[in-house]
Amino acid sequence: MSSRDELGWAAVKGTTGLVYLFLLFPLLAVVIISFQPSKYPTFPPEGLSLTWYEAFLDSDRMLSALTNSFIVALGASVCAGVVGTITALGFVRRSFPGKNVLSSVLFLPMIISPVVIGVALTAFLTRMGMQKSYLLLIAGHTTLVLPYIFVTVRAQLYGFDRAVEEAAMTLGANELETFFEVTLPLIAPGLAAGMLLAFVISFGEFTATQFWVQPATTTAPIEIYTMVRTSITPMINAMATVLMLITVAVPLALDVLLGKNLILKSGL
Amino acid sequence: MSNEQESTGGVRTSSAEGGELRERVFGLRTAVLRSDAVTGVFDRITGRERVFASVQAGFGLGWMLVFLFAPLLYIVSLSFWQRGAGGVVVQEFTLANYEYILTESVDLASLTFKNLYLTILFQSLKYGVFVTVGALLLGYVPAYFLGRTVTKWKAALLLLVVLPFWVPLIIRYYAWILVLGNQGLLVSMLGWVGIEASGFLYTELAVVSGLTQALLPFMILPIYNSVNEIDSSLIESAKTMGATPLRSFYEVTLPLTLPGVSAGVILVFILSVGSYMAPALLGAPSNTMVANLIESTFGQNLDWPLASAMGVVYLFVLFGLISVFNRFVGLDDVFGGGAE
Repeated sequence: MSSRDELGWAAVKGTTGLVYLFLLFPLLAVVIISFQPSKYPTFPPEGLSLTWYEAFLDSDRMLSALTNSFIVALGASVCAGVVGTITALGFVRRSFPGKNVLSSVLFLPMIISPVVIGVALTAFLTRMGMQKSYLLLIAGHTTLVLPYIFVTVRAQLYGFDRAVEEAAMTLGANELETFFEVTLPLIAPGLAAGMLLAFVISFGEFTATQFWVQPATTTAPIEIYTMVRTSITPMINAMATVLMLITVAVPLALDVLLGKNLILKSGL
Repeated sequence: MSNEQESTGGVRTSSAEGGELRERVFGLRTAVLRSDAVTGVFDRITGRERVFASVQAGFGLGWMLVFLFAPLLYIVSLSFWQRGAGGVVVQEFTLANYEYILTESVDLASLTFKNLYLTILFQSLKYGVFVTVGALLLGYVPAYFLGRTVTKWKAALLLLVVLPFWVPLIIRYYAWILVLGNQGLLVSMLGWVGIEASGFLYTELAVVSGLTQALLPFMILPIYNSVNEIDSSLIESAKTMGATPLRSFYEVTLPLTLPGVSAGVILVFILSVGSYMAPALLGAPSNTMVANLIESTFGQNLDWPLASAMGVVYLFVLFGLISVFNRFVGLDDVFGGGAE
């Protein structure tokens, strides 16, 4: 490597560092500020305290919002997991006309503004006489996260050796046994990664969700938005830190426990 | 599985029991999967092979039909109806909503918007361009670094790009409020070096920078993928032939990363144009974007037909953009290819 190469590479490294700072510093700041006692954020922080975490744990509203987010995210990721897996199987293993265009259809929830999806589903289901409930939230969120399961399971299926299925059938397993004993365990990494991603996205979704909640089913992001818009209290920092723990640390820990970097390998 | 093999004499009994339990569960599963009731139903579905093929893919497509297409078609029809007293929808045909979108001037927060909707649509597209250019400028170098580096920290560094994507958007924008606000971190940091500033929130800059930060992973990851796929011997041979580092970058690396760049540009542009939360939290009323206008028309003014018409026009613009992009890169390549 010439010295000119090295200089160029050092510049690349330095720029990368600055972009990482831009990307991560604000989030880190929220975590740090959440542990300081004063009412107004100061940086560097003055002292450590768990005051705002206590306030957060005392707030019934916050806890019930967290519970609601859990119910909806769990429901949506399981529902999308089932629908997405069957769909990916159909797309990878069978041929039918218009496959490419139809697979693009499955990505639409990722690119249409969630406001429009939220408004359209609300208007449509109101017209059908459906009340706002957990069911509406889970159905809506399933629509929003389905593309992610489809992508991860499909990627897993592309690298699938169908000879193992034929071996199972030759040895006397019927189609259902083959699916549950052979196919499913082999696509499990992609499915698990997709479902974790689906859980995380559903858990944090605000924009479409604001049209679908009613007071009893309010989710955590809605509560935080209301707090940010009305009165910014330092409790938001504690709540935000807890949410980051749930959406980042928990999936990462699961990822390590279930296998090696499934999520990372799957791309997103 | 490996635990079972590693277990020593002391725990053999319990592991044997575990094995027996596993055996029994397996037996039960086999019994269920072979039972006449289950296989009968399955056979009936799969009896006609081609029917089942369409049923499989039809699960997801059917879901989209019910929960996405039917609702979108419904708002198309809603957009030709009228708003009655108290937000009731009157099912009488009218073009008034589209006329309103194309002609009406409105006063909003002491600013007069001529052709409110079109002005805001144009503003959304303008912000989309700013965000896309910003994300490309900020994202290319880190993507290049990640694709070319040989450090053992590569996986961890990639993870750091992906992680912010998992953090709820509301928290990422809230963090940006803490940075840009009146008593925010940027103001106090500038204070250390003796620069007086009074916060940067509720400006166009705040909206664009917040969106750029939020969407940056969508730019970095596809570009990283295409850098990562470049055979490094190509770059080496360019250099052996006497190309300077800059020349080999322009002649070899850059053209080979263009698929990643176009995937990133399309994703970031489309997602930023439809943004709701960034203008709502970081912008002033004059920084409103299309999604905010639709939300306030639907949720606050309770004018569902007008909000639907606004949504329909947005969808037209979106699908127009997609079909233009589609000539260069397939949508499926952007998602399927970009994510692998």
